[in-house]
Amino acid sequence: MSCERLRSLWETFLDGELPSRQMLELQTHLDDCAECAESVAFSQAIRLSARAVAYDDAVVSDDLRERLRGALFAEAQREHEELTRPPEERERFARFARVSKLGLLTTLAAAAGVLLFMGLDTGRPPRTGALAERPTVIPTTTAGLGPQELLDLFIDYHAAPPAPEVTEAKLVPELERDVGVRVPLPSLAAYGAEWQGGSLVRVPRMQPAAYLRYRTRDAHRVTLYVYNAQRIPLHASLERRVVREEPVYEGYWRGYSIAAQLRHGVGYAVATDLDEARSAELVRAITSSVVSH
Amino acid sequence: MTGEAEPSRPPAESPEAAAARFETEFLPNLPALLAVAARLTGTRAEAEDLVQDTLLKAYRSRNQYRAGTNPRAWLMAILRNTFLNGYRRRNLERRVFDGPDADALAPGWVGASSLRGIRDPHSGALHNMLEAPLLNAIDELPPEFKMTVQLADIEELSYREIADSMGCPIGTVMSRLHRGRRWLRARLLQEAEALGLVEEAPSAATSAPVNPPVQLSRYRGKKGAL
Repeated sequence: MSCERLRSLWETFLDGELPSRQMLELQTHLDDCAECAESVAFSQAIRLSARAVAYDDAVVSDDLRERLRGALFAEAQREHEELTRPPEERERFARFARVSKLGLLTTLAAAAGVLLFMGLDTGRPPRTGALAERPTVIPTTTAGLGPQELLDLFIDYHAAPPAPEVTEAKLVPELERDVGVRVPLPSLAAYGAEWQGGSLVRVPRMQPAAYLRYRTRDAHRVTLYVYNAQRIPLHASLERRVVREEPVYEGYWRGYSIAAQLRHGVGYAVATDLDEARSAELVRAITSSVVSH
Repeated sequence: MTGEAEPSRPPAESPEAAAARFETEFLPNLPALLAVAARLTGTRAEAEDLVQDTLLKAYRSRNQYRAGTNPRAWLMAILRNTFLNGYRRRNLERRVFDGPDADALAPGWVGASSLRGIRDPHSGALHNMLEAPLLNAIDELPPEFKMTVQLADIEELSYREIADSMGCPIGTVMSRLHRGRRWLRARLLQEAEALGLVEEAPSAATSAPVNPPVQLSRYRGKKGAL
């Protein structure tokens, strides 16, 4: 076998996809030809390194693993509920699902999922019985969400956010049409956080809220929500505190802290995995920066 | 919406059991999915979103998985579709492969003596100064080439499995691999030259000698020394 012929085959050879006779022929040639052997070794080196760097770059954190398991469980739960629902409710569900694109169900069920798996991971006994009996979260009345459901929903969008629909800063104002209030894109560079993207929190029978995702250099996630506070009473889910003469609404739920402030009918809320004081500090910085002019 | 009129069918297993079974079977592929997603999307946050969307879609269509086939190839097919349907816009700009320079980087023949500095003699992998350039070069590949090369080189799927994952003929897989790898080699040689790792400059774009000299005695001597 000539060196030239080998050059057209060695990648296939390394892939193990050559017929065995050719494999043997090639191997024999490589044993005798230093030039080709070195060249094949180079190709092999690229593969070895590509594999190493790709996996170095993609370490699955416990956070991610937990989030994915939570999302999967939520999906399983949703599917289960869909299959076990009586026909007339399924009809209503179908109508609702068409409207909400399943967003609410998935995210609300994610709450159950995340809770279950967090329970498992911290060594507490799994409360599968309790979960199976959990009342379905599909709203069957025309009233809006209760304070607890609302808080749950907002935390869902922080804990297991769907892919952002908007990732270009100049498109953020497009969200305003749905949200009904001005949606700023404040820089959190001072806090070492970079904007990642944004989208809508679909709040059933209320106006959607905008959410903007940030990530700090040390991999903490920060979610900023901007919403019409007249329509979405998130602050009613939280505890009112007065910080430097300004009311801040704070809450701590499912391991995340959330803080909200209201300005001229607009609600600004921040959810983080940091403590409540940090979330409150962030939301105060944001409201004062976006409302000052 | 036709499916909703059918009578309710009680699920065979609890959601806990269904999710757990899915996890046992498919979650071992999480690092592979994340590795591919990270290169496709370019940011960690997007890669995580892509993996999550992929797993949820896979869960919903888990009945379509054919037992006995490679679960990784099946997941990669879903990852690819998910990526193409929602994440692709920013990656659409045309790249090196479509421009007039497409072949300017085709490597000429590079002799064994000049290649030697490129590898780490102990691990057989590339010199560690070339790891960052390698990642950059992979990132520069257009998505379909990138994913093909990744599935072959990083995930070690067979041509058949890659073709199934990518929804294209085996011939297309082979052609993408050929061009993608040629590009990677050329880029790495350039970098290696810039870093002073190779002794002589690879003569890019000029036609190389077809039959390089065979230096048998030197090779045997080297083998003996190992």
